[in-house]
Amino acid sequence: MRTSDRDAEFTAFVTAQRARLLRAARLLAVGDEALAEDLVQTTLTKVYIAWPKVQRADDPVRYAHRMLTNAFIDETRRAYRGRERTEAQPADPATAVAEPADPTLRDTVMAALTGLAPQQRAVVVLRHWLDLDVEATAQALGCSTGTVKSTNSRALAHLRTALADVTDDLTTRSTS
Amino acid sequence: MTDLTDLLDRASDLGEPPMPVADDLTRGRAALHRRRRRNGLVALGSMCALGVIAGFGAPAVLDRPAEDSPRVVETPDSELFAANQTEGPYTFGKLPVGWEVQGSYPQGVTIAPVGFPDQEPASFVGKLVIMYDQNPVSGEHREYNGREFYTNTEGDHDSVRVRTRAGEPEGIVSVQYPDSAGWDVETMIEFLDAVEVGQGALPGLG
Repeated sequence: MRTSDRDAEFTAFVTAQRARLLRAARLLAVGDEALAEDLVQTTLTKVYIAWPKVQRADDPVRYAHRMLTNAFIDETRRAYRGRERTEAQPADPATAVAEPADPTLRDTVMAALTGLAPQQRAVVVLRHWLDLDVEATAQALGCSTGTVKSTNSRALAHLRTALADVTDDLTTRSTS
Repeated sequence: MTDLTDLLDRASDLGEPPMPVADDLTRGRAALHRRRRRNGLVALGSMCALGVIAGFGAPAVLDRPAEDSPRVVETPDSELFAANQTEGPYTFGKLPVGWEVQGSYPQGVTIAPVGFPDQEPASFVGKLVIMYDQNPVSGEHREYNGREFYTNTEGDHDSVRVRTRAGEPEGIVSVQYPDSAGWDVETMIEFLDAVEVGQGALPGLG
């Protein structure tokens, strides 16, 4: 593959998908913006290296999200002190500082996600934010569908309790 | 009744700022290059010629040229002609005679002489490069057509920078060009003044 083709395709992919990857990373990192940015950078670097493979995937976007989730799982297994920090900051600090539309809701949801184990958080993000089915989630995490179902079940039980302040009837679109 | 997907969606949405796409590309290219070097697929020393962008504050989207391209290529002096060419978010009111657009990115455009040996669109060396960023302006000040232009010379290349117009994305648009092209600064100010930056432009990082 010519470098120019790879660059152009990758640039288009990143332009279209970076924001969504960052949002997924933000949920996985429970609001740690630096970690979320690190995860996205790590993921996109791997995406560039594996671009021909990513491009051939049935769904390159999901493929990238799988890589992101794996980067997150790897990160949780690594000692904090060994983690490399973000290489570059967003383009302009003045515009990069963003605020959630509902800070209270965000804090509550992030606190609820913090109470989940990393694997549970990954399942919640893949199943309920990215809308992957059980099989795709299992494939992404390298575990069995049974593990996904049980992990998801425990995670939802926790979230129903932790989010009681914002909703007394938490529903999901996905079936477990 | 509250849907979990909706809650996650709202919690993760910060109204994303401009994304540093150029840096992602630079990291990816560097990582791929390191991997290839480790694998022996690229000869030692092939990481030469970051080219005229080094230390220049240019968007990092553009990297080394094709490995067989010369470091500096002599290009003929060329006059500008009236054009109305749009490449991505950039529109050129004028272009140099005998030059053509090679690469177009949200962060900028590369323009090279027709038949230029280095056909790598993401390479800067010996080319005329339009960039958009949000870095501070500095350099020798000149006024043209009611706008403040700033000129700089570094190594074998020159540059002109100017703030974008009202209605364009806020920031700086600049042109970088090789000494060997033979253009005087007035010509390049005239060229840059005719560049319009559209809403799809993304700031590069310097």
